[in-house]
Amino acid sequence: MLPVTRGVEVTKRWVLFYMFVLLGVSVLPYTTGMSGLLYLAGALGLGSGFLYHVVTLFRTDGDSHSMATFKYSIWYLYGLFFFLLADHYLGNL
Amino acid sequence: MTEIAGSMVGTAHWRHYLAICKPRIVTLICFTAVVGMLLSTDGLVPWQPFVFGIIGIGLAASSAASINHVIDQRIDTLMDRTRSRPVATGQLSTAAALTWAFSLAIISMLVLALLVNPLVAALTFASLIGYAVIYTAFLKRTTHHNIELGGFAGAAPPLLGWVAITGQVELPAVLLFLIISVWTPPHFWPLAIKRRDD
Repeated sequence: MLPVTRGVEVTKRWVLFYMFVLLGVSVLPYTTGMSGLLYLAGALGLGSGFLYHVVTLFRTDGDSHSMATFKYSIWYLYGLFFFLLADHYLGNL
Repeated sequence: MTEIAGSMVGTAHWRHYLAICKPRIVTLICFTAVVGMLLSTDGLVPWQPFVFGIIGIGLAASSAASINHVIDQRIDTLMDRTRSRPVATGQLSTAAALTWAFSLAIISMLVLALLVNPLVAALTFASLIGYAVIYTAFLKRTTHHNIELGGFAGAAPPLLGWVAITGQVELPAVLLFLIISVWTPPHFWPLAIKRRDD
């Protein structure tokens, strides 16, 4: 695993990297017309929260913020699914 | 007396078979597959591909988890978190676990190919091989960046759910796959940082 083989700091840099890629990828359902504004608002809101945790993880020492980030990541994905479905069923209202 | 002993062993085995399927993860996989199914159509999801799609995808995920326990049995004995896994402790033999895993995979493929559609069967099979064999057996031990590749298998269920209903791979399904793939590293690595001594 990366934290073991390359260390915690390198891993945190990769987490930050993928966080930005995720922010970009998470708006694609909106830009391709799959989902509407409701999803976009949800994705950006949830993404801001995830970014906050990842930046905090990056700026704090060791693993002090790692479990908070991990727990948020799970809520993030559930939230994203929720907004995809809500937009799918309510988007036309 | 022998009968009681026999039934106790039987109960224990039943629990071991269930345990190596990682039921909590399989439930999560089925849930994400259902999201893909719901998003794939504007109207109501037709019941047959919905029900048999969930069963087929769930069985394939159970099979992958079981194969994972067999391949990782030696390494599992070295980690606190995994030391008590049934195959690692020898409570369930390698042969029994493999027979179980292959049976689940075959039933899964039959259900998907005959009662859903051939494409979802093929893609589910590819995900199963991708996770159980390529990821567990090779990448996990050899590369620093195994988790990105492992994420592909974890990202497959919503796409599989979508294909179960529509019979084809479409752009939104690929986007769901992409989002979960990219989500996996920032999801998993913070946990890995916490457990780096394990």
